[in-house]
Amino acid sequence: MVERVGAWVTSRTRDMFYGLGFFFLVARETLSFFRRRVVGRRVLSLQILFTGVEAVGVIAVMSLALGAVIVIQGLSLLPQLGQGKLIYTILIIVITRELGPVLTAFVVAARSGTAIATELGNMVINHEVEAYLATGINPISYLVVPRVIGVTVSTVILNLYFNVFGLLGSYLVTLFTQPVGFVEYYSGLLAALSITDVGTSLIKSFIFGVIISIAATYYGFKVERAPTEVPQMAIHAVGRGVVLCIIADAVITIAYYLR
Amino acid sequence: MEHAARLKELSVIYEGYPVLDEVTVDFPAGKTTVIIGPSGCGKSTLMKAAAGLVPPDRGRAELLGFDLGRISDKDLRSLRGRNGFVFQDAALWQNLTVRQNLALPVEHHNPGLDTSDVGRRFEPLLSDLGFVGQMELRPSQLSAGERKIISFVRALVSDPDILFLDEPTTFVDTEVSERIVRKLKNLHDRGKTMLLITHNPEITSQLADYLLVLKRGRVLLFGTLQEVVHSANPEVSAILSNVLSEAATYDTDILSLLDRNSDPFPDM
Repeated sequence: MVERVGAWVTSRTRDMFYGLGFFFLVARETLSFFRRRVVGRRVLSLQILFTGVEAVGVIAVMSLALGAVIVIQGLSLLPQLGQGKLIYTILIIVITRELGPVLTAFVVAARSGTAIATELGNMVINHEVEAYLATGINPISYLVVPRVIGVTVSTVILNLYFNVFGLLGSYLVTLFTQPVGFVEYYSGLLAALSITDVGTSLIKSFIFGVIISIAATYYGFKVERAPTEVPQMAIHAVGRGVVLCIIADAVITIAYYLR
Repeated sequence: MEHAARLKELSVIYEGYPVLDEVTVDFPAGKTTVIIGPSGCGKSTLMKAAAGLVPPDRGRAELLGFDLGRISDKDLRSLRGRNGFVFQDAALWQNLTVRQNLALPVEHHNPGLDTSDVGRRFEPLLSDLGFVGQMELRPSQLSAGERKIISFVRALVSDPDILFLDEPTTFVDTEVSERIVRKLKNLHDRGKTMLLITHNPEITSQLADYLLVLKRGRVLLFGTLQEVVHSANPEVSAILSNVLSEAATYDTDILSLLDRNSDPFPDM
């Protein structure tokens, strides 16, 4: 029993240090990515296309629908309490500060996290990563760094899209339920919105993007020999990525209210 | 430099099983060493360990004078540009086209090079090997033989000082195989160091300066072609006969086939 617990602790500790080493290696290579004329920029463009551009549709539908739901729920309850104006604050708190970054991160993890972990895992199995090493191309700077930058940039931009569509969607619903003027509606929203809200939202997206991409690339490279490891690692990549995002979200939110 | 690559008491262990067990060998510079042994004896792992692609669990590996366990990132990048590797399964990058597979290493080591100049690095090699396939196809759309040709060209495209060739002629037809061997002989004459895994006695007899015989992850014998062919060790003779005769279709004694003095084939 003691031996098994010891082995588990040793294994987890080794994994943690390996993960930290991987993170610092990626951070170091990321710093030099823009200084060198590297062939990885093509990979970066493709990653932004896949993670950012191709996900706009999903984000738009989700945020429009969500904005509508929040407005319908809010408008059915708040006026009864004489707090109809609170809908603007609630929209900003829910969409800008919380659900925007978190749901965007979930979409990115589900689409790009699995794709990256699966692609890298298959590359390991097919000896493609060894081929990069053999030709002198550092797999961290060519395969990982462009994906980390691409996913992070895309997550931040998708969060902005989420906010635009979410707040726009809520306006469209208010037109059906309690018509208000465009200027009045957006004045109410802007009055409820602070720079700190926007900053918190962007910081969250940035951190979530880094977490999702690092988890996906890390678990992609954890595949060693068998193709059966690929889906297992893809599940780990998304599962751990999402859990870490939620933990980070809690920490940032607590820090926001403690300031 | 006397030795292009050197392994010292090197062991590689997978899941507690020693794939390579205390291997010590010096690969002479400017010479071709053919590695032979039964399937699963660790030939590919040995070649990857010598190239620094598989880290040893014990012992150390040196390549072109650098200790691979202590080399700096900068030296390693420059060292990689001086060696080429043909993988047993070609290991082409599946998400890139044939052209991109060949251009990427050139672009990486020569940033800013014109697209037409990049193409000029590999087009003559493709022509020499008789590749007439579409350059915009993905590797999965090529035959196994075509993939092997592209893998071979990718290894040569940076004009490496040392070449690691893991069965470079498998899957290719006789004509392409002859072209590859001719290219290898040319590289051999230009003083390139080559480590070659093959089961083909004809290629072995034409290219090998040295033979390394492996058995269950251990070096059974390393010596010049003549020394190994004429070894009195019955295990060595058995491996030579068993391994090389698998690919031989000639009705002749396998050892005399390897013996250059007997010259059973005209030069290709």
